[in-house]
Amino acid sequence: MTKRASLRTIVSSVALVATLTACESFLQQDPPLDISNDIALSTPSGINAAMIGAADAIQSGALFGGNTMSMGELWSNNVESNVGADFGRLQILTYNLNVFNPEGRSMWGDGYNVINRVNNVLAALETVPFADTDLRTKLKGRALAMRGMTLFALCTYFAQPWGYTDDNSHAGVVIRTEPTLGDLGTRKPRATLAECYAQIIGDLETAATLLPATDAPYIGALAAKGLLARVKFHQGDYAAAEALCTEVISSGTYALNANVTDVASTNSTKEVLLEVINLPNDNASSIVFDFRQADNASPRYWAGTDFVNTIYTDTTDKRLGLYVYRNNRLYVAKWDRIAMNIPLLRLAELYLTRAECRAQQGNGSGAIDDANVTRTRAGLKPLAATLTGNSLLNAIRRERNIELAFEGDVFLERKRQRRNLKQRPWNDAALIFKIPDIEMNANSLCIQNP
Amino acid sequence: MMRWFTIVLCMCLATTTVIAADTEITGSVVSADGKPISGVTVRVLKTKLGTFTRSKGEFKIVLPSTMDYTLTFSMVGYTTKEIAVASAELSKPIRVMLEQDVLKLEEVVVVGYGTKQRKDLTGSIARVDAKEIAQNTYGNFENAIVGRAPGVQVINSNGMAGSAMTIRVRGVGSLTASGEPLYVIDGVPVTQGDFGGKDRLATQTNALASINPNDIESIDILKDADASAIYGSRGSNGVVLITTKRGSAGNTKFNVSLFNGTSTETNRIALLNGDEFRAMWAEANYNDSVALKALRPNAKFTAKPLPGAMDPSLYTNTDWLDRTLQAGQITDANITASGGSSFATFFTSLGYRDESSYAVGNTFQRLNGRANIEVNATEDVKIGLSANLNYADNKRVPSAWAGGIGAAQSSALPYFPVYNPDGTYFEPQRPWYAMYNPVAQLNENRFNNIEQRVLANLYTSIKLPLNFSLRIQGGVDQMNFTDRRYTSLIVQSEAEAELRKVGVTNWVLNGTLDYNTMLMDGLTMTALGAVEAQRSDQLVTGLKGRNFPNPAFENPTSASIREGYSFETGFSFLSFITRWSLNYQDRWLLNLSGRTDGSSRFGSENRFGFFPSAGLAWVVSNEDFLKGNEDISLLKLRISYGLTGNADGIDDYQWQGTYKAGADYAGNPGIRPDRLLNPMLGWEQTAQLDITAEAGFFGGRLQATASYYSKVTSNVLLNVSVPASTGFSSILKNVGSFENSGVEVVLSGYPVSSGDLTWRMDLSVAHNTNVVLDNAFLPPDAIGGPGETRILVGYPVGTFFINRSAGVQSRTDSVRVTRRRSGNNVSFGTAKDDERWNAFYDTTVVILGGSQLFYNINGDITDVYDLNDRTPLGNPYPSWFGSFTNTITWKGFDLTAMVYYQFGNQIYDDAAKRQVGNLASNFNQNKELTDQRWQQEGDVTDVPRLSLTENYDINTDRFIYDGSFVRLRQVTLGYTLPQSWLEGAGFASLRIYLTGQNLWTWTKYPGWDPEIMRDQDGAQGRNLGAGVTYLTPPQARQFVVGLTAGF
Repeated sequence: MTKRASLRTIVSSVALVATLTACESFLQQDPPLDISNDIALSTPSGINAAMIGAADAIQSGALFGGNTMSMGELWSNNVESNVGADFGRLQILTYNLNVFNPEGRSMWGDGYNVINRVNNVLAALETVPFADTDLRTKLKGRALAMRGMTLFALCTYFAQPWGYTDDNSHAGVVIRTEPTLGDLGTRKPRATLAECYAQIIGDLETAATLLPATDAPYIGALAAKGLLARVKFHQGDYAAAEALCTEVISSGTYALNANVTDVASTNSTKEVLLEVINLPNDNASSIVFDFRQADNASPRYWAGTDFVNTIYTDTTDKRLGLYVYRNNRLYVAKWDRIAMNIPLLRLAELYLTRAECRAQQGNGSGAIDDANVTRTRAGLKPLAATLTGNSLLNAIRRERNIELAFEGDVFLERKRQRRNLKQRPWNDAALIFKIPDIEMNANSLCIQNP
Repeated sequence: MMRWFTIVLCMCLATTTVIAADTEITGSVVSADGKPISGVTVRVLKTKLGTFTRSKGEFKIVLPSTMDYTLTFSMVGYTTKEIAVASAELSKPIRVMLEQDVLKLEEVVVVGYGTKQRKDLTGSIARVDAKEIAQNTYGNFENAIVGRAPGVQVINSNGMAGSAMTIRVRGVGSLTASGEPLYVIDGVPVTQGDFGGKDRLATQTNALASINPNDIESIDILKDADASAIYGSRGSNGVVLITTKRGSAGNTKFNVSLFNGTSTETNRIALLNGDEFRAMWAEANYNDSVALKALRPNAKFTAKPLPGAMDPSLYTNTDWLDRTLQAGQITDANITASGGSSFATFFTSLGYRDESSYAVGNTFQRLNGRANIEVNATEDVKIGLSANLNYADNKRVPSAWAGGIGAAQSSALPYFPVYNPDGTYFEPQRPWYAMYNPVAQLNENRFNNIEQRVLANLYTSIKLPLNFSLRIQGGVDQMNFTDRRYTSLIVQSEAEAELRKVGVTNWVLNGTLDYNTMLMDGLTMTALGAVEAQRSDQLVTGLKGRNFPNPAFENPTSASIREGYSFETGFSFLSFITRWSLNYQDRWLLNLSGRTDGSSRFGSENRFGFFPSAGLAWVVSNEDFLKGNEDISLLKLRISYGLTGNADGIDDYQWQGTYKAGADYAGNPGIRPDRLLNPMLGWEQTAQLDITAEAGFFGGRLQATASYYSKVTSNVLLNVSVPASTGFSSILKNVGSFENSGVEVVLSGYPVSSGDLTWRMDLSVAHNTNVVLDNAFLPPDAIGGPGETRILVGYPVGTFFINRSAGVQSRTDSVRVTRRRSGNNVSFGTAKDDERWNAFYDTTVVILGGSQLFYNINGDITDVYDLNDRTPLGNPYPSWFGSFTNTITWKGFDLTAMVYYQFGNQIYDDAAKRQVGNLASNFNQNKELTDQRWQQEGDVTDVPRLSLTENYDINTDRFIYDGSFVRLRQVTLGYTLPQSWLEGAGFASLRIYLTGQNLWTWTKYPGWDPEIMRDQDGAQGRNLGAGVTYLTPPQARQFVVGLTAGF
């Protein structure tokens, strides 16, 4: 080989080495099926898609697709059940909850899925320029409302209720307002319940100012106010709850359905302020699988003796049309359609909330008027105008129990009223889930429920 | 001892020759370096005369007459030489030089990016050569490694044609990531593994099965860090270097090899026949009625009906195994041509294999073509091309849980007929297992994989001035894998078809610069620098269809409901490699290597890793005080230490924080966060120490190698929990650690080597201990494998986490048992939870005879099965394994017998809980073990009474068996026809042979076959599941007759 040729070879091999070395980009490969965090949330449409993803998390059967309603019912006097070998539900029934409870695990996990997805959206909204500022406002409102309602559900199931300690300094849940991007600094203690409620109320109030009055299939300002009324009512802030109810009712946007059964038979009726949309492929409405009795199904849950006695005190109640008596059991036909939309907030609740708020504040006639709205629709006699004090409260609560039965309301209500759930006092440690292992194993700052 | 033997033999021969003293021939024999060799056999052809050389290499033979003679000089470890001596020259002493060819002492081994003489190695490399590969009759080259590479455990998943292999080099190398070695064919890291879709048919495919073993010149397995650190982040699990055959200058040689044979299962378990099953069913009902009466005397007992709800007149005795097993056939043919001139050399081959296994419907066909051509373009420039085309068609059948012979052992009950009286397939009343009738399933369903693969590489090597040389190589490995599946309407309620294509394009480009020089007198140095880039891209596309207008359609396109899908993934590596080897007077050897690996799989903050190694060897036998020692021909001590990585276990893109599509709501497409960002994600790192002594005695007649190694693997990839309140459950991090340490001893020797008879013995013993050091505090159930295997600190990888059986109550009696206060059947939680659940009390209860009892966590007897009482037990990997091989040649005959053994491992038979006295599972039963059941009061056994109401479908140590076995792995008897017979026929050589594989097995394991690997999708299952079976098919026993002919 000539000297020249070998020189050429050496030069070209050095060039080869240099080319390869220069190609660190050769090692940067992007996943073909996924998109990286930066790209995903870099545009308004990307953020919008992430917001849809948050709504998808809300829809989970472990969350607003069913369990945030049905789990509370299982703890309450409303329900009798045959849960077979389902050990998560057995733990609830035997008051023997542990960190592995699958219902607690999935509610916690899916709840924080919503919160993390929403936090990602909120963070991106601060940095990404929007031509359509209305969209940005709406997305922010939607995100805050979803965070507020999810945090409220988590507090309901994982923390002792409002009033458990005088200043509500007892443990609430973990509050997260920043997106999770890596695993550094992910340990965080539980906030106090007071702090959690401040966060929930703040989120819902801000959302209500940002959102349009209605925004189906997502949450609108009126629905956010309705949820806020639920929170305030649970806190015993009757004046605030009444005002919020009034605002929603008097907006005229919603109206009670003519028939009590419409809400069960039809999606998106005019009475519903907020619902979870279920499409046939979603397969997400777990509450339907708990209660569904159509097609001669044998559901896990049916109406308990206490509830049967309550509703049968007046057999003219049209709401008996929402039940089917079979096999010596009163089955619930409220959740009878596979892939039905799940109503989360109905106008009827706001009337009944306002009824008690008014009664609590001494406005007896206003209270009776409100309670009679649902009674009249159910074909019952109006309440006697003479009712006052505890008998008025009891009448409103009885009406509320029947109207909102098997929709999760009883769990909050019993605790607010400091009444037993079955044999257990309202503040019993076995009436909430344990903080699941999926949190405890990796978050040493998080304290367990006793 | 052996030496004495030689001397005696020597004397015998000598006495026969010193009779007539007419003429004598004298001389001496020396080795290449001029040292005299003693003990060389000297024979005079066409006479019976012969002798051995004495201590100074001298010999003397008295000849009967003066004429022309031809002498042969042979010695173990040296190439035999023929010398013609003319009658006139007889009086002159002759000097003969023999070239060493000893017991792999002087052989050239392939190291990464080059070759080295074995004597220059400072690391541990096992080599399997073409001759050994040729003895393997199984369809893949991995099987040729079994028993031939000490410390390398080769696990054949089962005996089905085309099924997957698992190789563990010095113990299992990972927990959740791949534990398989890196395969490099002619310098190209190739695509390996299973591409057959997830867990289908309960078996995995083997992408390397398309490679023709007959094309392989050698398989070199890099075992320690000194050897494998040159492969950096992919060296931890060992590296398998495959070198294909080349031509050499000279006349063109043709070679034909053919064999034909049969394949059967190694073992068949006796199961119940229909009558026995029904009798046992009645016994179980009777036992249940007795148990019910004891509990509630007035209760009415209702017997459980036989499964299948069929017309009793159809009851029969079907041997389903007979219907699903067969005698398989193997035909394997290869033709090669090789040769060349000073300008070019070539090797070309054509291979064909057609195999049907012992499982009805299971076939594997392969067609291979190869051309390896090298051209001396100029005096300094060589250009070479290797092109290899492979086609493999694997018709697969289900086994284990997926049906076929798995169903024949289990859910196809023996009183079921195959056909109804009207000729249609019998089908018991649903709901029932889909695999009710394996005959229908095997006849009506179709599943096959076709692998088309092109391996090609083009290289040039250039001699440069100043002892530099440069080699540039580009290689491509293009694999196309087609998967066709059809499930018939006859077997399930709706016919289904799927067509799936996988394409993997893998290319590598590298440049290597070599340099060698003498630094000073006696000190030589070779150095290497290389750059390499590799990229691999995989694309999967598929179409599924169901609901066909006509059952004759078997392609998804014709279905009325169709669903398409696709998947893509890929990775790249960029590497900088160097190696420096110093040799001081062949006495001291130092080897330093390093590789910097960058990979797309590593996080952005951890993109490059550096993997150094150092090896030092002292060749004591080349020191003055041992030089010329007649007894010790080699003594070499070496030590090496280095770092390697395992990056092939990381799925692509894992470090990146990503969003995924599919989070749709109300018909609007949405996205969701899928994975947490971990910019520090990297390779698993293994630090390996190797200390080895090699010794050769009596001129290479006996060789011994002993190694100690310790491999500590840290930064092990685990999915570590993050608080669920982050919106994620886990993040993949480098956190865990475990250790493998062990000893390997190899002894090779020639007990007899004289004249026509040579007897070689090879014994290898490998001992490995594996222990998990850190599992990142994950709870026991966080990382699970098949058959209740776990990763627990202080225990071997894949230890069984299982309840302990306390036997069976012999008589109905009051027994004091311990129970848990809280009867919850839940797993471990926090310390406080443990405390709560581990509160016990004693109570006295009546236990019926034949009831199963357990030990609780404290070792007290309890009647309650509770998962909190699980205990780590056993080890799926053997603590001792190896082989013992004898090779005897006598005249033209050759006989090889290899025994493979392993000891100290346990097998968890995950199906035994349904097959040993548990009719309630609706499985057929293992007859021998079920016959040991409790039948009447006073019976002492560990198999409980038959019952249809008691839940015996539970994991206990009753089903952990000793998995040790000794197996006659291979016997070959060959005969090479004498040259004189062939001359007229135009053959250069002709050998005929008989080979039997897996002929005989000793084991205490009562299942089908102790050599198992539960075929699982994913690396984690394969790391943990090496000792687990669930109706896993047995190995194949093969008998073949073959011939090889050279022209």
